[in-house]
Amino acid sequence: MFSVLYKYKFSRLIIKPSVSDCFNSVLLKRKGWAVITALVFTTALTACQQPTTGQKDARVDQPDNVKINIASPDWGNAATLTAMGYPPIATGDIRVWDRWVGTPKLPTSTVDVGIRYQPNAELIAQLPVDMVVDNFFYEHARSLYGDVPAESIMFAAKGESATWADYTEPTRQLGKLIDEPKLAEDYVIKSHKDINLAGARLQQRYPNIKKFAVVQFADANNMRMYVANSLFQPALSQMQKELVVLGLGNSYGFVPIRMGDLAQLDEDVCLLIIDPLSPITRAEIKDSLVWQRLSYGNQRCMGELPPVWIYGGMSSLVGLAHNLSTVELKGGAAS
Amino acid sequence: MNTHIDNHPQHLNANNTNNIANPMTSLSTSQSVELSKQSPKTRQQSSGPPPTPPQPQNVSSFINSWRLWAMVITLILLSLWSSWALIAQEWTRPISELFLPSSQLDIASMATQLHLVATSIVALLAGGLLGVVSILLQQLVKNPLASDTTLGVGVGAQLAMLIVSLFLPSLAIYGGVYVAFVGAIISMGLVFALSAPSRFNPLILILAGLVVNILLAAVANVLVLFFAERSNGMLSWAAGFLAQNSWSTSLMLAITTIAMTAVCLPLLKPLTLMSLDDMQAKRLGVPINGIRATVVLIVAIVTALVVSEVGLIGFIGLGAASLVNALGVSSISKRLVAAFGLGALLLWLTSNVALLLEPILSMQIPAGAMTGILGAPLIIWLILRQRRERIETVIPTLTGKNTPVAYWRWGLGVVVMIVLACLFVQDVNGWGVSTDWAITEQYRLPRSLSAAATGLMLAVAGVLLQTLTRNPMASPEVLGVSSGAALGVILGFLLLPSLGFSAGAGTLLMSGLSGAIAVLLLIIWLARRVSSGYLLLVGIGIAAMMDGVMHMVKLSGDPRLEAMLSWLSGTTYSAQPSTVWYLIGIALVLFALSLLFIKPLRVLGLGTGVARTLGVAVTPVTIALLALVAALSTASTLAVGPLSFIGLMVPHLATSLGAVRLERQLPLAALLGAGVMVLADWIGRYVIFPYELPAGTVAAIIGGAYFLWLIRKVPIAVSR
Repeated sequence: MFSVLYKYKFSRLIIKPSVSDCFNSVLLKRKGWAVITALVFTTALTACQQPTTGQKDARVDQPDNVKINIASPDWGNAATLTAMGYPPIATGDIRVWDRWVGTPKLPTSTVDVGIRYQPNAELIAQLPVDMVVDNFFYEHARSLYGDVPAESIMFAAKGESATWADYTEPTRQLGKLIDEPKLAEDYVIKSHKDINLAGARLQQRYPNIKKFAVVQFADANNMRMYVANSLFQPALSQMQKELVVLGLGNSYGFVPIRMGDLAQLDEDVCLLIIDPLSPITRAEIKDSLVWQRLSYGNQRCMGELPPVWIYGGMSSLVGLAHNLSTVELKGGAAS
Repeated sequence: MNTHIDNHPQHLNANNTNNIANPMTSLSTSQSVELSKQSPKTRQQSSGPPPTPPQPQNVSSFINSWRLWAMVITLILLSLWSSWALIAQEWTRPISELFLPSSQLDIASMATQLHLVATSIVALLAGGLLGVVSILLQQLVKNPLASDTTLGVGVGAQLAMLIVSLFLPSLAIYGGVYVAFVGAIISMGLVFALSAPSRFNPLILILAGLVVNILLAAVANVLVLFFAERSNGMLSWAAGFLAQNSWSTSLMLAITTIAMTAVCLPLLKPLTLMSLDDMQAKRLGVPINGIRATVVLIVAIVTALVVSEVGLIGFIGLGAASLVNALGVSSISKRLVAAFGLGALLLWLTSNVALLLEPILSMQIPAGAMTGILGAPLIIWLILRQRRERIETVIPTLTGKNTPVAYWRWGLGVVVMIVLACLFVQDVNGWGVSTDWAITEQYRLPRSLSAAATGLMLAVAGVLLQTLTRNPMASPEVLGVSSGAALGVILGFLLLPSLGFSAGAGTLLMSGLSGAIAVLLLIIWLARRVSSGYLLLVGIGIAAMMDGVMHMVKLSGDPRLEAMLSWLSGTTYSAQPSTVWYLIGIALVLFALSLLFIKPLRVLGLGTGVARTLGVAVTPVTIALLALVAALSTASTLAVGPLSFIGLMVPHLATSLGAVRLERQLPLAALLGAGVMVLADWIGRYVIFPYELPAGTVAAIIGGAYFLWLIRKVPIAVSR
């Protein structure tokens, strides 16, 4: 009884082809053109057979200007697809998208299916989903979408350290899935250019700062420091900067640390704080004795970045690079 | 049967009021009586204790008090050892340097120093303050089970802080204490208002505290779900992390302690006088109401201070106060000091253990969650100590006129409601009338039907329990069985994969069942030893334990557990067309079984003595009824998750509509329970579509609001 898995029954409204119309149009042809008639008849029949959303095996090739309807509960995939110009028709938790992801903005046509890990089953049943692009976190909810093909694309570090290839590979895979490899290739090239531009801009603004450490506060005392297998590594290395870490992280790309551990960082490392940061936590941090001694913002360099989805794809990388190039750094070598 | 109480219980009640009026003396008398008698089972307290001369201390009482003192000393030793272990783990420099002024240490050492010393100081002071608050509350309501947790003081403060933090964050930062104070006063006022008609009958008081706790927690839950964008960071504050970053909290709590000592000194004498009897104290010139109001204010302020600084810490106050009671300290000043010391030690020990466990579990553990987990054994121990106090009375809170009930109308109403719930829906295009039968059959109908079945089962369980324990505030979740089932499922989900089993639907069912059966066995074991009224408190403890485990689950951040969290709030998300019919079948079978029990239950409702004379086998029937209640609540928990309030309020709703006699109340309550759950489920599903409010939360809010409205209808001449 306790099960999130749904058994899905074929219950779509089947668009009945108006077979009679097809027959009439065929029978009106003259007898002399028997071969042509037969050919036309056959093609007409196959054209009349509209694919129902449930019968994917018999799917006819879509003409080029028809989009594949992708449902993508994973934010990284959804964001990258949107940045490529091919937004999914549905993703989850859209109401907190702006708070956690920021860019790119989802089009208003994208439907919100509720909590990502527990999407709204009856809403999904009403959507014409052609394909599901997610990864193993969302496998338990795959049956909600019915018999559509489900592909697993994950933007994550394959080894101990995340590299540029870890982000270009899945992007190209996405391009293959949507039958638009050129779109993906163009996007990869554009992203590369954008990141290089951002790196140049950052270098121009703050030439003295070479090392960064990235944290996100859970509360005033506990924070996560992002390590080499998170997306900050390829972003910063592409911009010719160094990511400083305090230890080996977990498989999600961070290591939980306390405020006092920040003292282990060198004086010339610039601290970047990722939003969202609630006003209460902000006030508590200011009150903290340890923070005051560390003197970030005065003797040490620090800056605050707008939200970036840590488990995002190429679009997160580009967004992060852009935010880095425009960030306001205070204190230390920045002033 | 609830209204036709003859004179017998009123007589009991009058004597019980006397009983309650002398908590200290009655406790010590009961203790000394218990200690000196060899056969405790024959001791009947139901006629009220005669004024007992102080019993001479004999050997067994000496041994018993020695045992208690040994426990206190063990507590002290454990606290010292744990803090030593913590220091050894974290602090690599000489111990003396731990107490240097912060500015002389380098940053890393200072951070560790704050982490160790400041946290310990905060733990000591906060625990002590909470202990003192609980003792004051116990003096106030003359009930050995009162505390800041059971009277819902802290949860009101926390909810107020949550509301303000969501909408007016600047006020939360600078004016946190005042906000928390207002919240604390409001929730305390609610609890007192709920229990005032019954003259602060101890059980009603505790259960009123439970009701307020559930209601306010549900409101907090709804707010967090509604405003998910803004509630980032709320969770860790609410969990009760004690770890400190600066000395400001320690300073604030130290000032509070000193101020509180200064304020309490002049109150000692009036409080001592008031502990005797209200009338005597009045004659001696004590302004009773003024003193009471002052105590309430002090309690609210101090709790607000503690909650706004460190978050909600539960059960420390109750533990300290119960230890003080057990040690038999009678003078009020000594009680306050002892409570401070014991509360300080308890919280310090808990905080040290939480910090020691951190590297082992590699996640931050809030002390507030740990106290919840320790609360259940504490309450059970407390109940076993308290079992001398037999609270046999029943106070009817709601009377209704005995009118004929047209069942078919109510049945039709429920069916119509289900149909409407399937028709008026939200879909891709917003609100509208649904015409798609396929989707309705697949998704909407099973959920509504499952809600109806669960509502039916819980309402029936509530009626059975309330009649059995002759307590209008009993309900299955208070019994703890649904919490036990939920705990079983959580532990199964977490531990089974590491043991090699896959955490699928079948195995989770088994683990949930075993959790429920474990709680049921505990209850049956306790049922033979304590009055059935006190069983209800076991549920509070187990629910608190589940709360603590849930907090740890939320904080671990595992995304798969997030899906479980909504189940824990009670949702019909996992209803499927194939299994919902089994659920309905089980519901109908159990309902039929309960109908069979109506006759013996009516007789049991007259009192165990009367029932025995009338030939009803009391214990087997009681155990069978408890098993039935457990089966009902387990089935509904496994289907929908633990739900609150349906079992509590629907029987009263049925009574108020005219079904006063049990034969009428049971079926009507079943129908009403089904209807209310269908409504709650529908609201939960569509109010923030496509996100969902758990049906349990909505039902808790509807139930809580209903209970507040209920107070107005309480008859005045209830228990004179």
